[in-house]
Amino acid sequence: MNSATIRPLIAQGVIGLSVCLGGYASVVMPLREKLGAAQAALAQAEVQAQEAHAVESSMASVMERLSQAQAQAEAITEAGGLARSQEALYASLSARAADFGLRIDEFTPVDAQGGGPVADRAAGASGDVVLRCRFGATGSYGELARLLRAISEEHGFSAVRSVRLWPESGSTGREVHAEVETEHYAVDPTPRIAPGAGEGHP
Amino acid sequence: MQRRCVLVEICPSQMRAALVVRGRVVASRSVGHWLPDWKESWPKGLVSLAPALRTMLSELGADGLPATIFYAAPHGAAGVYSCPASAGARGAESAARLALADASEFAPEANPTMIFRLAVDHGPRAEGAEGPQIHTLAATDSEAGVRAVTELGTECGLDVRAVAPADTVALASTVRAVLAASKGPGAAVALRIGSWGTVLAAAAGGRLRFVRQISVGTASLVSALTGEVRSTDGAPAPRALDRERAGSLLARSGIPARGSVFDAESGLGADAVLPLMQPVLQRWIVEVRQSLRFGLTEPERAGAHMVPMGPGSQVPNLARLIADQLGLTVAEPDSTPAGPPLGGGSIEDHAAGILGDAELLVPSERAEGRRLATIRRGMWIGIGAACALGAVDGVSAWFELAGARAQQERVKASLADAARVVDIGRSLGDREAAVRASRQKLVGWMSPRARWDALLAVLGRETPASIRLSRVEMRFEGRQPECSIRGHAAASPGSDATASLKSYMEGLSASPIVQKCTLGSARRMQDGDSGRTEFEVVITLVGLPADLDQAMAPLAENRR
Repeated sequence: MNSATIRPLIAQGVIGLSVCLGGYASVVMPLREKLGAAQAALAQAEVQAQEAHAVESSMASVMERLSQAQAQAEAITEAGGLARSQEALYASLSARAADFGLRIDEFTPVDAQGGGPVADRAAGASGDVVLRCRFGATGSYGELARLLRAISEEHGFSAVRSVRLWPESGSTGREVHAEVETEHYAVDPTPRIAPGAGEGHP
Repeated sequence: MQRRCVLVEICPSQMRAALVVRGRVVASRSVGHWLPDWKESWPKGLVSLAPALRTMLSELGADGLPATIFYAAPHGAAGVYSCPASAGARGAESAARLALADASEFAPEANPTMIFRLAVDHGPRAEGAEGPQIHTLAATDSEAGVRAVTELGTECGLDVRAVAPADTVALASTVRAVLAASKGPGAAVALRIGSWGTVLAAAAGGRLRFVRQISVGTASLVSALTGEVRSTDGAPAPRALDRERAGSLLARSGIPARGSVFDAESGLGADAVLPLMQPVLQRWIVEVRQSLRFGLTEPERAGAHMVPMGPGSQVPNLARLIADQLGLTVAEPDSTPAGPPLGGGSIEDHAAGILGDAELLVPSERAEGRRLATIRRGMWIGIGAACALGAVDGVSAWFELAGARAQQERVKASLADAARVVDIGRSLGDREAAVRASRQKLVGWMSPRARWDALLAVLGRETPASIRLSRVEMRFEGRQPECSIRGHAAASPGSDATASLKSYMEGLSASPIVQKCTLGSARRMQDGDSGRTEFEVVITLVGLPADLDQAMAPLAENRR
């Protein structure tokens, strides 16, 4: 067979093959892709169904854990309440100091770096709060010790960062003046919903 | 085979066309001619036959029909070649090709060639005979000759599908006849006497022993009769016989007996023509005898019978004369009326026996066209199959997709009922994670913590009266809780200030909340009569982890 006869034959073959491939690519392959996507979605839905079944079968324990988590979240929120309100903090500290016979001389919220007043330094979109404040108090060692303990144990998430003591001038020798710096923390324990999360859920 | 087709036969003395419908000849036409320079003028001389062929075809109404043309091929070669069956079909074909190459004047591989397995021996093996053999009919002709014959048919309005040398038909029909005759007792010898040649074949026990072509035919006798005829007394006859008259006399009177009249009309006697016929008859007999002597064993020759075939078998006394000379018995002669060189076997036999099985000769262009057509057909079939497979795949995917979507809908419907449950499960996970993260964050912020109140208690308990503290600073150095205390130790009777300070520091160090206690500075001072030592001591406390539960406990109690 010479090239003059074989060339049109090859051309016809190429055209026929192209038609086959083109038809397959334009008709069958999209169907196959859709099928793959549908099968993936089906698999995901089946996983969700299994999850739902598992949750449903242990609903009692789930509800109990949920209420525990809820209670913990509420406790965390409540324990951080003083960090969210300077007034409440001042009132609480004053009341507790008064309980121990101490006198709060001054109360100043301060910056974390020791600058001017600040409400929080960690607050942001997260809703977390760190409140640092300084106050002066005058009283005996024992009274001051009880106040420091109370701050650590009874004022939620609070920590005494520093204490400076010196004898109160003109006192009998038992009284001291203390300059106390404390930090009070609050966090938001509610779950963050990521953008787009929950979409597509039944 | 085509439903309607035409068989055309061309030889130097005659041309015949037959219309075949469903394998049977329904009409035929023939025209006689005499072309003595057939070989020399080949293939250009074929052009002169076109008008006569066109007329015959027109009379048959065969214009445009598929046609096969058999022709006397002056330069072609045809033969039946035997090969041991152990060589296999391909081996037999190769052997036939080699033998054909030896027999032909040109290279068969470069010219149209036909190879056709004619017969395979099946009968019992005779003593001393060879094993079973494959008998292959092979023929070839020059490209120019095949093309000229094809073009002749095409010019006359036929759709020429194939052509073949007429010898192939003679060989095939002779072999089949002798094999059929050899199934009975004794060997069979088929003698196909044609116009231009004779085919001799012998078989025994269903096995073909040999096939041979002899270049003597009835045309040789006719030519001999056209020679100078002398009367019995040796004087020349009044006139010589022309070819047409000689042929008709031969067909009517055959080989005359001595003393009989050969042509009553002219008064020509047997004694005048027998000398003319004698050399031809002698050659015939010698050729056949020699072939039988070498091809058959003595016992086979003794019981052999002859099957006369072909147009020459219709010549009175011819076959019997040859058989008598060879000592063979004669079977019933072929009953087919005398016809063209193909005759003897009917043209139906040709159609059924040759056309139905063999790939005949075709010009190279046409062969190439057929190959291309085959390739193209295969290609389109392949493309069609690919399209069909693609369609099946597509339909299958479509059904699977529909099924998957339906199942997805069902699962979704069931999930809708369980959505609340799923949400609760997710909510639980999210809440627990958030609480965990919050606690970790708080622990990070609040750790380490220092028990400053406990340190104050320790200071209150351990500080003796001789030591007075002037300043206490509790703070974190990095993440380490430290307390720096300044004061002075007054010397007391019986002990100096240094000892008091040392004792004081040892007391502080003994406390479990104190990690270490180091002296930052000490300076002895004179204060009136008594001395005192001013000092600075740094107390490093043990850092404690944050206790969130403890931090939240009072609030929980308050809630309760």
